[in-house]
Amino acid sequence: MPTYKLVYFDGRGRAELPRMLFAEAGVKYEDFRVKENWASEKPKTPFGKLPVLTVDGGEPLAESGAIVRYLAREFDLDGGSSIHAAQADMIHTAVIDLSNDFPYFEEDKAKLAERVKTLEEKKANLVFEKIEERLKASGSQFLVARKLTYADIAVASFVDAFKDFDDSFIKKFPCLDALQQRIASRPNIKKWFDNRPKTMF
Amino acid sequence: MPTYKLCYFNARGYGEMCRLLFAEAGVEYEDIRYTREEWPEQKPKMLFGQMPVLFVDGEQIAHSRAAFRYLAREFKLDGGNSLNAAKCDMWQEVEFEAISKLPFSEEDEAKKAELMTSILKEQVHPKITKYEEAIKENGGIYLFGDKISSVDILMYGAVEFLDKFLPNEKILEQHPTLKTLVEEVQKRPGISKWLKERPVTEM
Repeated sequence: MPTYKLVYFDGRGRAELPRMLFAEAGVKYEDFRVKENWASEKPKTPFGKLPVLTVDGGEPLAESGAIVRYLAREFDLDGGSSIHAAQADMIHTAVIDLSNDFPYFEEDKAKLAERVKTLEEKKANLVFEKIEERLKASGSQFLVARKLTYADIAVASFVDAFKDFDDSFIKKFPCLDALQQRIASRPNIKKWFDNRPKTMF
Repeated sequence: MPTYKLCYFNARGYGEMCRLLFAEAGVEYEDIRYTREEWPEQKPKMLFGQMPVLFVDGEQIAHSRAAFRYLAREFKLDGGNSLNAAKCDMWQEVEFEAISKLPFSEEDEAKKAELMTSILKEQVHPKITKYEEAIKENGGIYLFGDKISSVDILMYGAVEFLDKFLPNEKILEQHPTLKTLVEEVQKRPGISKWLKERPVTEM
């Protein structure tokens, strides 16, 4: 097993999905969190951003999407075939595109509610409808290949984060709500949720 | 070999990166181009109501980047091992992010010009330089030395886009290693054939 080091800020953010993959797979890694020392850590990153993943002390790999897809592949959490990996990829990418539009830093509560509503109406409702339909049609507990993939974990992670913005959103999608709860109750994921550092974001 | 169909508008846009992979690999596919008039009828048939969509034996792979990664894997254009595939993936995300920050849709002309200059200076050029450094480290023309990969082809597409829409920037004059890469990609048999034969479109 290679030596893994994941570097991020002291928060969930874009590192949480990689961390959940490590947890689910039961693979050890160094969960390095940059606190005051960003100025000295930043030049070590390829593009001045986090997260980065190093494997066996090699060149750091940047971009959370690339990290997630790499780890999923290594941990057999990408469906097991090329087409299944592509299906997991498209679901994960759709969900990430939504989370990139989150008004994370909007402090005005009224504006926040409005921006969340716009996001839902313009994009999130459709994307989630389609993912919900897919889960129903799959005849299984999982979105792709009738087994756990990072797509399930990504959707669950997103749903969990969205609750902070609109906790009624997921009620429109009961299958995905149930999926999120199933993922959160998986022993390794639950252990991670119970033990992970409690952070602001 | 599966049956492939790519659905998009009659444009290069987000569809061209997949078309270039098909061209490089010499793999046949149906290159469907819907008109604006046809789109409303087709939209509900696309998984997330958007294009491009790649159909593989009738199965939809939505999202251009997911489709691109799938084809790169199928056509063995993803660097030959898992970590190299992740590097391709990383560079693809970097390219996508840099290009999508360019404010083409900004309506205020003065603001647009200012933002364009700063994004080019702070995002686009430094990232191209880093890509060139990665190429030089591997001693060849392509990211992985002598073996072409999907991300080299993607970079070709990015240069084509930048040259078309920001011709005054003269990207390749500022980046000689990239210029060599672009020239090599254009000479590849499948790609040069495609460049000659593809529909000529504004975007």
